[in-house]
Formats: sequence, structure tokens, C-alpha cells
Amino acid sequence: MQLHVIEEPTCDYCGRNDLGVCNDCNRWRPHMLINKNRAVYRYNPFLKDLITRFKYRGDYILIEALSLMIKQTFITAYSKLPKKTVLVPIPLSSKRLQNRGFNQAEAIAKCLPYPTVQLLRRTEGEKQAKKNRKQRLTMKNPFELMDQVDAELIILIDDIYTTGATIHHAAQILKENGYRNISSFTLVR
Amino acid sequence: MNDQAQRLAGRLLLHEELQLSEPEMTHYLATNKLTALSPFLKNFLSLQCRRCGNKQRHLFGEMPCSNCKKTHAYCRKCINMGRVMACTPLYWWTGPKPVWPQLAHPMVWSGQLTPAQQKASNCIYHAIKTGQASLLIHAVCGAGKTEMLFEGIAFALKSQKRICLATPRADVVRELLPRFEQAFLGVEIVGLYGGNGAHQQTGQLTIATTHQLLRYQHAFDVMIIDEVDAFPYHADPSLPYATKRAQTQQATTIYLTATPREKRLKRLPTIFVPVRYHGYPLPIPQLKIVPLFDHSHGLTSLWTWYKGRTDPNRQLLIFTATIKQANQLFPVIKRRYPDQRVMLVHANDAERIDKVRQFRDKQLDILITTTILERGVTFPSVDVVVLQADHHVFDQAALVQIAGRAGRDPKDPNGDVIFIYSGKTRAIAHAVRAIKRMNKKAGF
Ligand SMILES: [Zn+2]
Ligand SMILES: [Zn+2]
Ligand SMILES: [Zn+2]
Repeated sequence: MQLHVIEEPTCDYCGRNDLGVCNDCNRWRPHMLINKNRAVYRYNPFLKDLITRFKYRGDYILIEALSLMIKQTFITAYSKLPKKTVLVPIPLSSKRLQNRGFNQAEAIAKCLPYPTVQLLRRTEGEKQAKKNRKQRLTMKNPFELMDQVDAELIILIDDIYTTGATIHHAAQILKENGYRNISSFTLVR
Repeated sequence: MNDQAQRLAGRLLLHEELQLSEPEMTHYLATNKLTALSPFLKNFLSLQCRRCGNKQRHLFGEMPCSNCKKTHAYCRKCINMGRVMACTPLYWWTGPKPVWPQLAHPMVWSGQLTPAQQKASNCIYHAIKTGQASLLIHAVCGAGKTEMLFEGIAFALKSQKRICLATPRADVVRELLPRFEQAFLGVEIVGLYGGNGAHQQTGQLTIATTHQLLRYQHAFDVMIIDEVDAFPYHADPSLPYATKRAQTQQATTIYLTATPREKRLKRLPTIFVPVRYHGYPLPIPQLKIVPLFDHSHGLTSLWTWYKGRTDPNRQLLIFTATIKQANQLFPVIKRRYPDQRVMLVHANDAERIDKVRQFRDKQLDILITTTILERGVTFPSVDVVVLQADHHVFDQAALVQIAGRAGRDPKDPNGDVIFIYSGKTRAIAHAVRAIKRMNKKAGF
């Protein structure tokens, strides 16, 4: 078992390995808040173990082994970007950040050739792991704006795009604050 | 205070493992009941993890830490037990010593020891009483090691000593814990192994996998190391490191083994227990060489032996070298013996505990297994087959242990042990020789 890099064709919205628009996005594609998501790897048991070790156990340097592929996928997926492109990692709650010692989304953003700005923060803890799909999608927006930036394009960065709820919550806050051009990029779809 | 002393004394813990409130923590640190130790020891140019002893550069990582806003080292070797990093001290109890319940007669076990067991038991008792540094018990599989330990442990408990029995495998902890709980009454006994969540409890008597000792420092007055020759104890340097650190300065160490290979062990004061507790000799492995041009990978030998086995009522354990082989073998065996209840178990098997229990309860006839069941776990009446016995995972110690699964019950003291292979290894030859030698020593 190994890492499975996502190749064309993919769902043109969420970046999942699929033809055209995938089932998930057919069912639920909230107001086109983002232009598109793109991801590096498909979810499989091998990657699950890797993520566990990287994110939950905190073995930070595992990102080094993935960084080249992360960068390459990003450059291919986002070939012509405006000059003022800014990466915004999905934040952790301060308690979780303290436990882990680093934010995995920030570690992913650091592999990419654009500046990272901490634009968002959490208003409450993150516990979506235990929630089902519907609960995740209808829950109150957990993010708020904590800064401003002059950007033509914002790319949200996270480790996993599962239902897309986290990314869309973040995008919604950005939209409400006047940022109109938003995409996202994740390690896993 | 004694509650905290019992819970924390002798342990080396990360902040989150202490489970203390912030005020308690501040108070204990201010009054020197708790001491913060630097997580890494800096030798000239090199770094050593205090918890696991790791010195290898490639087993340290660097991370930009959001807590202290610095990029610093963390240990990758022991990261599965919670990350040790440069800005997280390890905490060690330096408050009052714990006081354990005063028991006049902690041991309620009233079984009878055989003369061979009694002799070993006396030596263990004497070693603990006089504070002898070390003692090696060289006992055959099925000698009844656990019972030999009881009198010595009872003495140690009465003398307020703390005892640890460390074993390489979680299965063995699970099997021993209830036996000790039955043999000793009113004693705080705790069983520790990865993932059982009990690492917040402590007791006067601790039964633990060797890995759990990474969380201890100067805790135990008596350290009993089971299967000191077994993998991974002799392969992973952090285990001897942690075992040594977990003992107090005047501790007595008792080593148990069926196959002392290391020179270091051969020099220790040694007691032989060459005879099984039921008084019958060890079954000698029967060697089946896979003929050239045999495309069945030894299965023809298995089928032939199976047809003529001495007692078809026995259960059967089939050992394979790899999980892959076990998986391939499973459907083949099921097809060949459709009226037998066949199951497969390996180290990464989530239902492993349950399957072993089913086999013990005789709900299964044939169990295909990797080496995880080679030691400690006992079944009363089994035949044992090792396929590809010349594979390198089957070292001498493993083969002796596997052969030792057979004939454990006085009602069925025999059992077929079959090694199937195509090229005889030193391990096979030495294992057979060691078994024969022990039988000879026992007077057979
Ligand atoms: Zn999609
Ligand atoms: Zn370590
Ligand atoms: Zn730090």
C-alpha cells in the first residue's frame, strides 16, 4: 500500500478523482463559495496512518517527505495566479495548537511559493470528527476574521477536504468581509 | 498525599500524563515534591532522549514550535507514547515515598510446588531477601515459572518493596494479571500495556510490557524480566535502557528465560529448572524436510503428518513466518479440512484477543498464527506445526518457545511438534539440541 496521487480527471469543483462533478458535489455545492478545491492525495489507509503520525502524534518532519509533491501539484493546479495571491491556513483552536505544537495546515502552506497570512481564528473548539455529515454542514460557523490583507486571490489551505464544510465555513467568513476570489488546496481529498 | 505518592512515585511523565490541576502542579513544584527534568541530555555534540535513551540523530526531528516560538528538537523514537520535545520537561516525583498496605499474608495461593519449582522458589526468595543483585532462572517452557515467583513476591510485598514483572508481549500481561490477582489479596496490582489506558494507575505490583517501563525511573526494588531473550528486548536498545532506569539502586533483578543465548546472561548466578511441572519431558520436534521439486511449499508434509497424527482430538497451531503467508494458507486449510473450525490471527489483528480466547475455549480446531503466539500464551492440548521453519524470524529462542506450546497439560503431556523446512538452519539445529539437553538434565 502506498500514497495515491490524484491525477486527471477530477471533479472540477472539489478535486476528487472522478469524471465531471462528483456525487458529493452534485448533492451539495453551497453557493459556489470557492472557485475550486485541489488536492494532492487520495485518502487510503496508508495515508491515514501517515496523517495520524504527522498530525496527532506530531511527527513534524514527515511533511518534508511530501513537500515536493505538494508543491508540484499546487503549481500544476494553479498555473497562472495573480501577483497578490495569499495563502490562508485553516486555524486550530488555541488549546489544540498548544497540544500539538504546530498547525498542520500551516506546515502544508510552508511548502508553497506564496506568502502565508493568518487571517482567521476559531471562535470555538473543533470537534467535527465525531459529527455526522448533516451535523457538520449545519453547525454554526466556527471562524472569525482576525486580520486584513490586500489580496487578489486567497487560497485556503487545509490537510483534508472531507465534506468541504470547514473550507466553506472559512470561505463564507472571507466572502462576508469582501474577499471575492477564493480557492482552496488540501493535502487529501 | 500518599495517594499522589502511590500514583506518581517512580514515574517519569509528560505534563499531560501527570493529570494534575494547575494549582496542584505549581504547589508540588514549589515544594520540590515534583521535579522537572530536562527532556534531552546533551553530551558533546550529541543529543539523548531522557525517556527512551535514543541517541541516533535520524531519530530526532525538528519542528517550529508554536508554544515557545522556536524551532527545536523532538524525539521520534518514542513519539507513540506522547511527544518528548526540547520545551517539555519530564516530571519525576521527589515527594514522600509511597506507603503500601501492611499485609501479614498477602499470598492466598495454596497450590503445591514440585521439588524443582520449590528449589527455584527458594533461590528467588533468598535473592530478594538478601538484596542479591541478579539471578537467572533457566526454566523450560511449562516449568511453572509464575508459581515459582509467588513466595519471593509475597516476601517483597510484606517488606514494602515495589515489584515489577516485565514481559515483551501484551498477551502475556493479559494472561498473567488475573493469575496474580487470584494469588494475592489486598495488594494493589496493575497491568500495563500499550493502549489499555491504565497508565494512570499504579500499584505495589506492576505487570507490564517492557515498553511501558519508558515511563518509570527508580521505581522498583524487584525487577523480574520475563523472556529476556525474546524479541524485541534484545533488539531494541531502549528496552534494556528503560528496564535499568526503572529499578532502584539496590534492586534485585530476576531474569527468566528458556534459552539463554547472550554471554552476559550465561555469567549470572543461574538456577536450572529442566523439568516441566507435570514431570513429563519436553516434546522433541520432528523434522520434515521439504523435498526438492516440491511445489506445495511443504504442505504435502503437513497433509501426510495430519493424516497420521497421534491424537486427532488435539487442537492444532500452525505457525507461519509472515502475515502474507498466513493469509495465503488460510483458504487452503479451510478447503482441505472443511469440517474443522479454522481461524487466522496475526499481530495487527484487531480481533486478536477474541480469537485467542475462542481457541482457548475450544470453539476453534485450527489456529493459523504468526509468531505472536510463540510464548507466554498456553493452551492445554495442542499439536504445533511450523511451516518454513528455516525462515529468519524463527530464531532459536522462538523455535524453543513454539515447541514449548505442546504438552502443557498433565492430562495430555505429549503433543506433536513438527518443523517443516527446506534447508536446516543453525536455529533449528540449536533449538532441537537445547530441548534434548534440557530433557537429559531432567533425567530423561
Ligand atoms: Zn466534487
Ligand atoms: Zn525518546
Ligand atoms: Zn517548544
